Amino acid sequence: MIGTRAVVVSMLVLLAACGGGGSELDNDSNDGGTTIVLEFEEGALVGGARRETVSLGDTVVVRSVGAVDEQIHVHGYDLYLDPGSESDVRFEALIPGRFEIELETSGRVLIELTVS
Amino acid sequence: MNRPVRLAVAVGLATLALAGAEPATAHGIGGRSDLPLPAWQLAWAAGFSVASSFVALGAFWSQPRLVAAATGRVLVDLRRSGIRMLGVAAKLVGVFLLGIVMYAGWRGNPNGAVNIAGDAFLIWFWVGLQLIAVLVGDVWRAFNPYPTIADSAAWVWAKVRGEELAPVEADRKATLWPAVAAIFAYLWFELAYHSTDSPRAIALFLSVYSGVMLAGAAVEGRGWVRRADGFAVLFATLGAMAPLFRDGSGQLRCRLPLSGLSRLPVVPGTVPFVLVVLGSTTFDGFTRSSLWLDIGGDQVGWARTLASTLGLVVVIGLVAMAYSIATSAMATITGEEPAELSRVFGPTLVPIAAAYAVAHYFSLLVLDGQRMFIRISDPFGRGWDLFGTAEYAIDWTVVSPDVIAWVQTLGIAVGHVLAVAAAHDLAISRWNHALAVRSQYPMLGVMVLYTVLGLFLLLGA
Repeated sequence: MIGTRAVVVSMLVLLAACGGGGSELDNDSNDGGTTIVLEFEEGALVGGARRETVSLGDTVVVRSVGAVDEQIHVHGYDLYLDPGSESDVRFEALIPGRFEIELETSGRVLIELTVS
Repeated sequence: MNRPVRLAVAVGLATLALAGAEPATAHGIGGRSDLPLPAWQLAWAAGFSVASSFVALGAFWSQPRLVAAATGRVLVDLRRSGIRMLGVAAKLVGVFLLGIVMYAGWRGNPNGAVNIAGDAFLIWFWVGLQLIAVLVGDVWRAFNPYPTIADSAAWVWAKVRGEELAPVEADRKATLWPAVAAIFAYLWFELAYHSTDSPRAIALFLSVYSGVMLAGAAVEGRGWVRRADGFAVLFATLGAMAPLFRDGSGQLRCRLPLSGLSRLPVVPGTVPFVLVVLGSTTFDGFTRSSLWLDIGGDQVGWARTLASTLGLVVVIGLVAMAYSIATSAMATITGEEPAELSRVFGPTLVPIAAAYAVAHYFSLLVLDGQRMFIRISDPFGRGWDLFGTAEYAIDWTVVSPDVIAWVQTLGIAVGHVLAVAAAHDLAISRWNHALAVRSQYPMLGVMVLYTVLGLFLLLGA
């Protein structure tokens, strides 16, 4: 399941990187964009910290699944996901750079998000 | 207790106190890094560096030039009364700013995301003043609050006792080792300690740092703050390659950039100081690379501090080892003492340290630095809007990734050429041309190594 999800996400990333228009395959209700799923088990990110890349101008959805008791902070864009069992945030990736997505209180890095 | 023991106890207590500081509530600083540089641009810069090094060997000047150029010409006499008034004002501003940041840290909002302490100390003071020191001159010297406080206290103390104020003693113990310890303490706090952006932690660090500076001045004499204040020593060292400087008689002079390095006083501790700074910037670049994400990215709390401390020490050690190998090889070629050559050639590393600072911190200053507009309206995070800028939104696109990439690439390449030029100038002032050229092979080797390493880190790999 996790593997499938990772494959889907990376395919979406790949499609987005190839010039977008990946909406046919996008079953995560995010038209022409990328969904980054953060899956938690016992408060920890499944698989540990990882890298994600999206294209400048993409619509990005960051979604947390599974219980987590800290806020999640998307740096640079300064967006927050509330603690709880499921939460998401959507934004236009208009700021280029590399940004940390991390657990706000403990400072644990979840994703290194590249927008280019 | 003798002095080193007392110092060690103070540092130990400070560490314990930091351990008790509350964890960060927000990571306002360091959450953004630059995009990786395109490989072609890195290859271009690396190739340019190597090529320029070989050109330097054959085609650079054959008589030393920097010492003569370092005299410069007078711009303004800083002893004129109007300017002296400005100088007093600058000192007061320095003390005031230290007070504001300390107050914000101790009594302001404990959330680092709304408190001025982190942005003021870690971005504007640390990064901003380094870049100003390199490009303009040692401006901090006019504002530095520690000599001001130490001098005022000494003046009051002398008045109370009805004595004449003793002059600042000459550098009886001309050593910068206390400054090496001080700058390492800061670098550890900035790069290794896991809760750097907590206002309370910043306040505690500044309190301990200030306490050690002023206590040292009380015990060792006022000369102490001039050799122990790691920040002041760093800005002065970087400022040695800047075009503007204040000469011994108090005149503001303009000189060829870089030339001042030839007159940088090299005392015990100077070279370790430069190597620690260079190594720490290297480590900072390393922690922003994806490689570090795999090594230390998953750590939190004191485990992260420990991993980062080890990383910091190891990287500084490797950078220092490379330099030591180069100077040993140079000693073999020229038949001189390795220790002497290591000391004499130390200042030629300053342009590389400066280039690293520019490459790694330029975007932080122009992008994250904008947060200062918001902070000055609400420095303590209490919902104020003093100047009507509390709602300012950072323009993250004010410099494009291309501009940042070019500043980084050109910064590293120019720094490399300047370092090579400084080393060449020094070599021909010591040895005949043929020997000078041969002596530079190992030095060029280590500089190319630093440069390629610096570029590699910009790859973000």
